[in-house]
Amino acid sequence: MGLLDDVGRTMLDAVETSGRGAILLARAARHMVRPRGTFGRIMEQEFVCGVCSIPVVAITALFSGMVISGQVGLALRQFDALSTVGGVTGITMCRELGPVLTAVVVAGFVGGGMASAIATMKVNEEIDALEVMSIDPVRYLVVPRLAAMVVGVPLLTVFADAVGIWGGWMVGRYTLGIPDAEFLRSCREMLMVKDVWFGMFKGLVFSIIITMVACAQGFAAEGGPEGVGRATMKSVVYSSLLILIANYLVFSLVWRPFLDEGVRM
Amino acid sequence: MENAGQGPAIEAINLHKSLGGRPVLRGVDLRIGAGRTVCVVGCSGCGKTTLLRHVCGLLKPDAGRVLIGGRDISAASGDELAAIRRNIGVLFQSAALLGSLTVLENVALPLIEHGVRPLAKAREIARECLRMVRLEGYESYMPSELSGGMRKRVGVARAIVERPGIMLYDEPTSGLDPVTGATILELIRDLRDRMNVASLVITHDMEAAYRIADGIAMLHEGRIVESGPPDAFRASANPVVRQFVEGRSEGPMSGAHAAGARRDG
Ligand SMILES: Nc1ncnc2c1ncn2[C@@H]1O[C@H](COP(=O)(O)OP(=O)(O)OP(=O)(O)O)[C@@H](O)[C@H]1O
Ligand SMILES: [Mg+2]
Repeated sequence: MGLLDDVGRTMLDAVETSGRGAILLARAARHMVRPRGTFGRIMEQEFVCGVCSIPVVAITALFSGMVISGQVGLALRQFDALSTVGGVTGITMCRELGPVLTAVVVAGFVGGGMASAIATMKVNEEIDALEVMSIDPVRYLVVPRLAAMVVGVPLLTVFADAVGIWGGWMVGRYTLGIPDAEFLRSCREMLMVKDVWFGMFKGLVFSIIITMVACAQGFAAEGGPEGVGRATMKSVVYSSLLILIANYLVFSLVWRPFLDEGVRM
Repeated sequence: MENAGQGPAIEAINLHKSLGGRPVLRGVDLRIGAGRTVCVVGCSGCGKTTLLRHVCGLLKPDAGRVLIGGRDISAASGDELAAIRRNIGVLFQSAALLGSLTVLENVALPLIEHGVRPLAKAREIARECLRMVRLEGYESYMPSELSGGMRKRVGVARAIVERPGIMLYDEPTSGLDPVTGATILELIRDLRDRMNVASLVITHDMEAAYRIADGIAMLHEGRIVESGPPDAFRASANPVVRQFVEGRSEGPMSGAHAAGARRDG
């Protein structure tokens, strides 16, 4: 009973967070059209969310690309299809692993930081102070973060794609013995521009999820340092969950009806 | 406590508020005329900060209204609320400075966010306000590098930077040495005399109240139990006021607040 209760409460809480995130997004969107006077803060956030997560994203993508190429290679070797490893690795990275892994890393690294920064401001009455100074906390805090994230995460995604493919290529060359030319030719033949765009589009969707969940949790924080910790933890967990769910929804609502040609894989 | 012929700058009418299921304000009535300074005193936890948060619209009353210059702040939202607040400066009990900004940036923030340009002009006004609270030389410090009393003074500087017609101070002198405290009290009096600012000052410090107040009101068990000019207040026969003014531990107030809470909870 207790377990069911907990599961139920967590689900409800996640749903509530999504709802509050959506409301925040609507409020932020009004200012996104002309984010006046926020350029400095956008660049600051760009640095925090983009530049600082590059090493972590690189390592994650590198090892994922390596293991995909290795596993796919071993499986395809039985069918004498080693020549397609490059393409399969490329497609897997660009359509799925690049965007999802980047988003999950960013959700922890950047989203968690955002949630704790805003939650700290909330419990220290800094948000109240902004409000009584007639400074809209959404415009001041959310808009620069959202702007930085919607640009930063898709770019990080492409970077992750590239690093992952390179890792797969290296495993192909040294472990599977695939000639470079063959790996690259298969990549060129199978991988299409729309695969990369689709990954970036997902990065955009995920960046909005991460920012909105983090900010909603930050603004809802209550009760001192424990409240900050709770908001941070929930932000990371909920945004990771929502990323994975949204990932499937995007596949079934965008990729399958509009982008799949039924010719590959 | 009101200037004849002028409407009150601040008027709280029959305010009721419960927090955490417990009544905190139980029918507070308070009027502060334009250009008047009223001190609200009362023991710790009696709801002084709660009252102040209603006056600046951070809390909405369960019943009753707060009028700021005749406009109902408790019913306002969005742009209207922001417009009313532009004329209110608030010093929070915790100062509530933005931890990520320097002292100067904190003080200049309302100006910059409200479009004062060039930035050098906003900074110059902010510097001037820092001089008024005797903090020149600390412009580039972070709030975490300041003492509690210094933070409070930065909070005062930030609150007055837009020259509001109404100031709300939550314990402006607590944590200050007598000399610095006197500076702040003089500043409060100065703002009234030179700029006709109406002030609500929350304090436990009876000496401070006698020095600056045009009127003193005592909050006890959720109501204003006594109010009047300082001399009359000092001479009040009300046993609650007598106990508070004389600072005795025995009397009608000992544990009265907690007892009241239990009775009503
Ligand atoms: N968010 C809240 N949830 C529940 N109870 C609250 C909340 N905020 C304040 N209270 C309660 O309301 C009462 C009044 O609090 P308030 O902060 O207004 O007191 P105060 O008069 O400013 O005290 P102090 O002089 O110590 O600052 C307290 O008993 C407190 O427990
Ligand atoms: Mg208080």
